[in-house]
Parts: sequence; structure tokens; C-alpha cells
Amino acid sequence: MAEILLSEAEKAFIHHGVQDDLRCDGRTRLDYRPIILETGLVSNASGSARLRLANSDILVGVKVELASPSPDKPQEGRLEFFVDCSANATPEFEGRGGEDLANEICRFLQRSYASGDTINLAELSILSGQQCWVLYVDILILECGGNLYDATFMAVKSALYATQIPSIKVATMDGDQPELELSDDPYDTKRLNTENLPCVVTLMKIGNHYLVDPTPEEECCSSSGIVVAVSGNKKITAVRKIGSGSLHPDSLVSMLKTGSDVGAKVNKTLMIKLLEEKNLEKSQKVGFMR
Amino acid sequence: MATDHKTLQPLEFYKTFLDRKTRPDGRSLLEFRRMTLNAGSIGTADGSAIVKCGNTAIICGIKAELVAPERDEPQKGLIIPNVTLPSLCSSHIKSGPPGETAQAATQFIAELVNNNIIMDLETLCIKNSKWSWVLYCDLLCINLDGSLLDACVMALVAALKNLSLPVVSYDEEMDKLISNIEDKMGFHGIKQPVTSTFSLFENGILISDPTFEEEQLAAGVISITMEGTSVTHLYKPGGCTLNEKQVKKLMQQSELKTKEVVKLIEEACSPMGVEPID
Amino acid sequence: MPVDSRRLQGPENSFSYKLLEKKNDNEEEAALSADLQKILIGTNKVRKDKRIPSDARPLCNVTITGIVSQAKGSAYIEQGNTKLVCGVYGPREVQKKSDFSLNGQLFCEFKFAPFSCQKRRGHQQDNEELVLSGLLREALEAAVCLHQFPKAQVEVNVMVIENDGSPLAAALTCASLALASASIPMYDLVIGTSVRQLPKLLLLDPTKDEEWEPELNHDEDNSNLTIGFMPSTHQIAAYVHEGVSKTEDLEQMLKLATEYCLKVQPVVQLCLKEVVEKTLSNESENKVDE
Repeated sequence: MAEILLSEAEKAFIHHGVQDDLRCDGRTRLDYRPIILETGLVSNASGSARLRLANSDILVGVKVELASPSPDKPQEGRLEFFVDCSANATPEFEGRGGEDLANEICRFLQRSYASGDTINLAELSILSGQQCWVLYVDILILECGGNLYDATFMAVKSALYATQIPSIKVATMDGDQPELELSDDPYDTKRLNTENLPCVVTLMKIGNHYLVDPTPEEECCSSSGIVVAVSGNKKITAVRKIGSGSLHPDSLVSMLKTGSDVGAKVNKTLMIKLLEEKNLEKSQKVGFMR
Repeated sequence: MATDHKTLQPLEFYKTFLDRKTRPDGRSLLEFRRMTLNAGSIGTADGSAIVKCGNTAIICGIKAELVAPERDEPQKGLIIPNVTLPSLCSSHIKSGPPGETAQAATQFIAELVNNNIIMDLETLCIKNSKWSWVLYCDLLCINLDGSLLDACVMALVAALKNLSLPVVSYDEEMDKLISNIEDKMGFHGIKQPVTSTFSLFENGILISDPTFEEEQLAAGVISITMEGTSVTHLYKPGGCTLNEKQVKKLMQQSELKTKEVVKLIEEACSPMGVEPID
Repeated sequence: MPVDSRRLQGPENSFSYKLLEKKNDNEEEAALSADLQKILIGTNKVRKDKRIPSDARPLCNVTITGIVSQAKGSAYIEQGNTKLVCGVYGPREVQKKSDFSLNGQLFCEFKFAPFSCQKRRGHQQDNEELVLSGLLREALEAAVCLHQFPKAQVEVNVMVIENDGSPLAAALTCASLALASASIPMYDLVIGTSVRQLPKLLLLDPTKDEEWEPELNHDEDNSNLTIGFMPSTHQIAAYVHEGVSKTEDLEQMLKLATEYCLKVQPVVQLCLKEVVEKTLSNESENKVDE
């Protein structure tokens, strides 16, 4: 992630702050930075969300398209993720520089959304074996301000929450060819059940302690950490170690526990905020300019 | 002392050996390296063989698929050979797309295949102009130490002999393919081509089965492919010239090697064969 | 995808003969997958390959050095039917100037041979292989003393010849052996292993059939964990978990995996010891010759 040059003294300062549970920006180890979230900003997408976690800026758009289901899963729709690390975010992403990170995030998304516990893909089926919805989730990283995993997952969850899937009816079976009828009313849509979609908590280890939501400076001070994907019902759906350091099994276990607790809290808060946002009037939308 | 001489003047160093009719690894000029062959050890491939010629090691794995044959050759199946030199196999190979050596080797094998030197492609046909087998033969080099083509051809032939596929037949009435998992079959009519590579030096000295180092130093290279006692393919990409007498001598040597390799393949690929222990 | 003119491409529409068989027993499979545990484990708690659940496949045919004579160090291992080769080159000059760093660098390439899996693989590295390369690099960076070869890089190339489950785990063990045989200074060996979680049962070192597949098993308490463990320093260098689990179960899985690694450590060390002894005796012989 963003390469920041810190002197040894600066590193020591951050180190001591973490030790005393008072970080440079006044947070404790388990505090998040302020988050700004808004859904439904991109009018051409079926669902979208823009999330700003301090300086990390993520825009997610969901496109809903009709397709035929894959032969081995005739009764289910699909979710497809694509992560784009734009060169706007940090100069390092120029050219193919962001590809590795984009790949990593993308695979982690796929894996943590893969279990039936998180999303019910059968909801996306229209006609078994013939037609289903495919959700293309495009993730654009606009600015890199640390903790990209958490921000991306929250934004994806919000965008899927806001996604409106048109109502469609299977009208007549004309021979073998079914006829699909799209509802005339553009507001006749349904939303997915997003209650259980996973949120991610990144825990970085600095010294003998670990902290959530690291700033780029803190990421620079730490050699290892874990990212934990926690579903709405507090189950862990994917974990991986990040960074080039190593961890003791005991500290790993305690990080996993904290991760799942924090993840459940983040999930709950996010759902409450999303519900509030949904009930807001359209005119109260803020947009990108603020 | 010896190592200094070698790094500073590799050619001179090498020529002192040649003058005494020997080579740094102790072989005489026309001696081949020890070969081992192991067939069928890779479970995920439909046919496989691992060949070692001295240090050079090649793994050939075959994946068979079905396809409608091409319009202009409806009665032929396909063999798609690819020689891969991963960055693993030598310090001279960079990771990324295949380099010149790999491409040249792939082309060489493809030429043998297309000229029916490896096998008659028509035996791969299931139903004329409807269905045929396509064999993806991947030749993976694990250790590159000269005479790549020799090992590649040997591995390919052994892997083809080791091939075991379900019997697939075409049902004309239903217009579809039927496979029988229990019955396994191989292909008959796989030929026994053997390639022998020689390196040439300016003063008319010939050496067989060159190592990577020797290939770098030599002034030219020639690869002779033989089936039994007849030459089926000859590949000499430039370099210094050869006279008739020299070519004849090389043919005799290739014949010797051919005999040995054929015996090795037969041992490894026959069901009762004793697998060489590495 | 751009056409690759440097390799021979087969026809576009060819398909594996295995698809012909699939159609026949599709229904059977659906009925069976309802009770996965019963397929993998008989009533007598014995796995298909006659192992008990907490048994790993033996490491065999471990060959260190000489398998790739051109490389600085190399290793070949077989874990059951999973076979892989690793070659280590360097330390040498960094190829890309832009990647300059004062510390030493690792470059890892993880590749499946085209014929190594049930399905034929492409020649170019696909996303899965790229992600695995990244995981391998992060794990080995924790073990290698990078500060010992500043401004240079060590290349680690792993080629999977046959994949029968747990390829990353085997790659970790193999790569650390290869690094050691190349005399690259390391803090400790990294030993890899995988655990498959089934409801109420843990399988150590799963084969391809036993591994968790996101497409197949959606249910909870089904997951896969791969760790890279450094037994002497008691540190975890790699940790990848996929699938839905509770935190307590993760603790169990981690315990099982680390116990196994501690058990294998002497075996792996013995292999290394033999190599060292052999090279030492060779060296002394050479000295006598001179």
C-alpha cells in the first residue's frame, strides 16, 4: 500500500502511542476513523455506494444483468467482482502497479462471499437452468488512505444493500422458450437480503498490541496483521495474514476473537445507518461535493 | 586455478579438453549422458513421462480433449505440443512469455508432429469430419542443461505410449458421443523417432549430447531424428559447415542412440516394465 | 484476452472427455453431496486413502539440490500425490530498477503445470496463481533474513507438477527447503499444512476431493485453512482461511495444524542435515584433490 517514509523516531512515537492505547489521532486501539457513506449516487447503476473512511475513498457500482446460469449451479445467480485501483489513489498504482493489490482484494471478496451463509444466490434465480440475474460489482479505489480492505467491504455491502433488482415475471411458456416480462413500473423492484453479508476487520500488529483501522503511517510501522471477514451472524467467512511478518499462534487466536467481535459491531452499525439512509428523502442526498 | 581459467577463457579451457579427446564431465567426445525414463507417474494427466538426460529433465503431460476436426482435414486429429521453459529451469531464462529457445523447440516438435513423424494423426479421429481427439502435450523443462530437443522428443513419445483414455464412440442415430469410463484405451501406431543432438566446433571436432555450457561454446548444432535406421528429420540451424564424412559418422552415432532409447521406452511403457529408479 | 503468438494454441472449442461422463451421473452427485461428510469419511472414521482424520500424508521422495542443477538451490517434494519442484536463484541484481529497495527482496512465482489439475490450465499465470505467488512471498519474507542481501533479490520459482490438494502448504515446505539449500540466510524453516473443517470433524492435509470448494459446499462449518508455521520460533508466517467457521473452531484447527508442523520439523531438518553433510564432505574431498 501507499509507501510512506517514516523516520525511526516517528515510528517509535507511533509505537509508544499504541502501547499506551492512545494513537496519534486520539483514537484507542479499537476505534475506527470517521466514515462517510452515501448510497445511490450513480444513476446509471442498479446500486451504488461511495464510502470515505478518513482518506480512503471507494466507489462501488452494481450492475444487474440477465444471463444464463452456470451449468453446475442451475438454480442460482452469480456475483462477480472487479476491483480497479485507479492511479488517482496513489502514484504507485500507475500502469500495472495496482494490479496485485486489486487481485488480492478481488479474490478475498470472492472467497468471503462464496458461502451460502452470506448471500443467498438462489434469490437471483429467475427460471431454473435458463435465466438468472448476475450482479457485476465494480469497485473503484479513488484514494488510498489506509485500511482499504475494511473500506472496500463496507462499500460493497452498502452498494448491494442499495441494489434494486427489477421485478420480472415468467409469463408464458411458448414451446420451450419462456417469455420474460419486465414490470412497467420502474419502482417495482426488490432488494437483496444483505443482513449477513460479510464485513472485514483489518487488525495490524504493532509491538505487542494490535489495532483496527490502521492509518497508512501505522501500516508502515507494522510488519504483519490479519484481515478477517465476519458475516452478519458473527461467523468468520475468510481470514488471511497480510504483511511480511509472522505471528505467534496465541496472538493470532486473540486477534481472531477481537476481529469477530469488532466485525459484528461494524456490521450492526452499518445496517442501522443503511436503514436510516434508505428512509431519507431523495433531496437530502449530498453527492461528491462536500 | 582451474576455475579461474574456466571463467576467464571458457573456450580455451574447453579446447584443452577437446585436444585430449575428452570433456570436462569425463565423457569421451561421442558419448551420451545417462538417460532415465519414468512413465505414467502423474495422475492428473492422461499420459505422462519424465525424462532425464544427464541433468536435463523434461516432464511431458498430456491432456486429451474432444473437438470437431478442422474442415480442411476432416479425418485428422490434433496434437498441440508446447515446450515450456519456466524461469525455474535455468538462470538464463527470465520469467514471462516464452523466449527464443522455447519457441524454437515448440516449432521443432510441431514440425515432427505435422509431418506424421511422431504418429499418424488419422488414428486420433473418432468419426470422420465430426469428432476427433485433440492432445495437448505440454513439455515442461525442469532442468535445462543442453540437448533439449532429444529429451523433449523422448518424453513426448513415451507419454503418448503411456496415454490411457476412455473409449469414446460416436452414436450416429442420436448424433452424440458416448464414452465408456471403464474401458481404457491407448493409441496404436505411435512411431519411435529419436532425436540426437550434436555440437560442432570449428576445427571439425564433433561432440554428442552437449551440455548447456557446451552448446554456448560450440560453433554449430545439428539435430538428427531417426526412426530405426532411417533419418526422418534433420535440423541444422546455420553455424559452421559439415562434410559428407562427418554427417555419416553422426548418423552412425544417432543409430546407436536410437537403439538405446527405443529399448528404454519399451521397458518403461510396457505394463510389466521395470521402472528405472532415480 | 490477446492472442498468444509465442505458443501453439489449440482449437477454441475443444472440451474435456470428462464432460461426457459428468452428464450421466449428475443426479447421483446431487444426491450424494447432501451428505458430504459421509462420502469423505466412512462410518469407521477412515478416509478414502485409509488415513484417520488427524493423519497427514507422508512427505516422500524429498530431494534437495540436484533436481535443478542450474539453480542455486532446489527441492522436490511429494505429499501424497501432490508433487512440486522449487528452484531458487540469486541473490542477484533486481531486474526492474523501479523496484529498488534497501532491503533484500523476494520474487516468488507460483505456477501450476498445464496438466497438473483435473482441468487443463493455461500457460500464463492466472489470478489464482498470482494470488498464491503473493501469499508465498509474504510467508517467506517472514522467514528469510532480507537485510542480509541488500539491494538484491532472490527468486523462488515453484512449479506444481501434480495437484492433489494443499498445494500452497506443500509449496511453503518445498520453497523453504530450496531456500535453505541455496544457503539463503533464514530465521527458520516454514512448514506448511492444511486443515479441512467439516461439521464436527477436522481433516488434516486434505486431498483434492476433501478440499473446500466455494462452488460446492455452501454450508456453515465448512472451511479450509492453510498455515505456514515456523516451528523453532513458534511463529505463523502464513495464514489463509476460507469458508464459514466459528472462532472456537478456528482455534482448534490452528492447534491441529501447528501440532502437525512440530511433528514434521525433525523430518524436514533431517533431510537438510543430510544435504549439508554431503556438500561438506564433497568440499573437503575437492580440497584434497587440489
